[in-house]
Amino acid sequence: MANQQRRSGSTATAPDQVTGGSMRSDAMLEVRNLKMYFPVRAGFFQRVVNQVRAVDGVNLFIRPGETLGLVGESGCGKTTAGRCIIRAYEPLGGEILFRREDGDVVDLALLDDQSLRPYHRQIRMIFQDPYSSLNPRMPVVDLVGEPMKVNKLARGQELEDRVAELLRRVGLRPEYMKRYPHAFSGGERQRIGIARALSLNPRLVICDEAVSALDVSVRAQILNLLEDLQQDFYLTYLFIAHDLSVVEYICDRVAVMYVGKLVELASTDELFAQPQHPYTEALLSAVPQPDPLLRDQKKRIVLEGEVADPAHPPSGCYFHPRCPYSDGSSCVHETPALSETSPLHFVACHYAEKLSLSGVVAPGVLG
Amino acid sequence: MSNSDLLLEVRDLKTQFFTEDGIVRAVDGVSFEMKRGETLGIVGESGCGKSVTARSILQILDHPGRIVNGQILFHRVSRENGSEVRETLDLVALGARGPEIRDVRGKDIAMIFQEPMTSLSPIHTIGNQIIEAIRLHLPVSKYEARERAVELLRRVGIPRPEERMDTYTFQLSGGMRQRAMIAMALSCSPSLLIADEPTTALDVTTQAQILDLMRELKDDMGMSIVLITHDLGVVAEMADDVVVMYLGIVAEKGGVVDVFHDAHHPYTRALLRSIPKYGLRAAGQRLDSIRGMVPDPYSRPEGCPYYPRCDDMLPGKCDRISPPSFQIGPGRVVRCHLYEGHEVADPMPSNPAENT
Repeated sequence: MANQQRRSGSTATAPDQVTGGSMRSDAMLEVRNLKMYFPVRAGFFQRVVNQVRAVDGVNLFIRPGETLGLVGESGCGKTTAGRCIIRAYEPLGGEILFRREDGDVVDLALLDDQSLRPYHRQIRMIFQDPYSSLNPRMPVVDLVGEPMKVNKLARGQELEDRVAELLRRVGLRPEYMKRYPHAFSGGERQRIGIARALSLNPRLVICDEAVSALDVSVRAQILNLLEDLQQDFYLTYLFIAHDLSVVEYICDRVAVMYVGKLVELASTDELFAQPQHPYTEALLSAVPQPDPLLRDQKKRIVLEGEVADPAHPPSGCYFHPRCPYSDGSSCVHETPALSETSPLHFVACHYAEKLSLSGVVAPGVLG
Repeated sequence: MSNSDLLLEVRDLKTQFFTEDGIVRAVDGVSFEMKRGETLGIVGESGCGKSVTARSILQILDHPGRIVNGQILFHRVSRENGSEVRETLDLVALGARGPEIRDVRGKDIAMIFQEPMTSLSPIHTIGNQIIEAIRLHLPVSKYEARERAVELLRRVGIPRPEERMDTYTFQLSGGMRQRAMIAMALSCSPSLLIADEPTTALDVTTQAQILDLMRELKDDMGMSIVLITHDLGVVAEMADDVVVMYLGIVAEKGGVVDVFHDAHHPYTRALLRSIPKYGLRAAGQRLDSIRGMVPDPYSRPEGCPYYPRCDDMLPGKCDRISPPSFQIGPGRVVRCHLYEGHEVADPMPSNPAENT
């Protein structure tokens, strides 16, 4: 499986689906003002009484070949955002601009199912739970080969050869291809999931908590595998995770979400050394470090209260009820916009440039 | 008795599950002790037997599981008519049923779980559940128990505790449920709290709140904590002593700083190298992973259970002979053939406790 075998772009796209060149020139995927609300229904007629604002105006971009981390606590909308990008959910609004291999830009949010098909080959997903994301009634050869069969890329002996090649590449023995998922451990199943995602030579892979369910020693194997595959196939990753130490290790840039909104987006080094949003600062300081000598030196910010309910978000900045720096006026009444405070460092906070927040990595340590 | 500050001694504990497919040796000769007021971290990957060890202490093993060997000595200090009564109970000898073990559970030793709904009832109000736990063990009136329950809920940081007494678990968030479960566990002021992955299901900012709460409560109430977790960060932050388990045995134990900064067992060393630390990637380093995977519980390797994944394996020895535990320093034990020449730690000291 080599790069040149990759199918180039799509042929079926009508010209009107190609938007102008308004996308960031360095980006491969750019999401603008993405919104996804889920209705809350109640009563006999199941009328919509409220909306859960799972994703509420998210802006981010991914450059080719990089790993962008999307982090936040449960319910912050990171998984929903990922699913909107592959159009597993129909977003309520916003643009999902994707650069095709021929350089043209297409807005995935506007496409119908038929015209989306070629992009489903180029954007693949790896899921968290390798126990529930693989059909237990299918042997590995079908699990990994099915996408190729569906897309009519290979069949028969050729298909088996390519499955064997993929399995070898992700560190599994091809002899096991007739076995069913139950015969594999969690780490091996995750490798099967990765092989399946790679079977169509994707350009962008969305890893949704891909290593969260794994034991520490196995997690390290999978992280290293993802890195190797990225090098070999020039993959771009959107790495959705809640574990910040993993994100710090694997991501080039990190986007932080809080209650459906993006609060900060910066390079990993900058975000961990000099966060500019109070939520990022608190989140970083809350992660227990695997070094007992650090426990007394570290200044830990323990946030009051709980994550806001996305069905009843607070006014102004969603973080203001828990924010130690809230001013009680503009933070309560005005929603801060995401703005670029320094090159490629985006923050949504009224006081981003006035506060001096502390990170968890000394800036001097970083290259 | 020389060891009056000892609270719990686990000696050569073996717990096995007698399943249709064979015997699973979930805990295979585990020994450790803990002092009063200490937090002991038990850390290991899934299947290492850390939860089964905890459940063995309270004798709440699931069906085919049985303790087949060993002692669990609990040094109880209770007050009767104003005078202090010290006694040593062998929890294994008490068995899983009967009034003696029931008297220990919840009163002297309480347990909290990863999933609060394991110990909370969905069909009773929070208040009634805590009141029941109090009245089961303490001779107090319903009114006093209610007062105490409100106080407990306030103590664990639940806002408006009087109102929350009458709510059901489904009306609370995950973090609040965890607090309610902790309140129930603390209802009889236990001397030992066993916390089995108490923060694994929680978000980091909630986890920080719960860990802070546990630390505070421990200091206030003079309680000891056995903290079971797979998260080395949580152990580093909370524990005084650490027990590292692998496939049912204690690979290494010692003070938390010693284990993290001067690990001796090849497994501990590899485990510590396989977790990402800040700045690792910026320094151009890769994660070290442990090759292979934890073996299937039905086919445990002969000899040292870690040898198939170990880089320091001694052929002919590690794959044949189960290593003894070597005492490599005060309170420091390593179960590995590499430390031959050190004194062998005795799992069953010759002076078993009195009055058992």
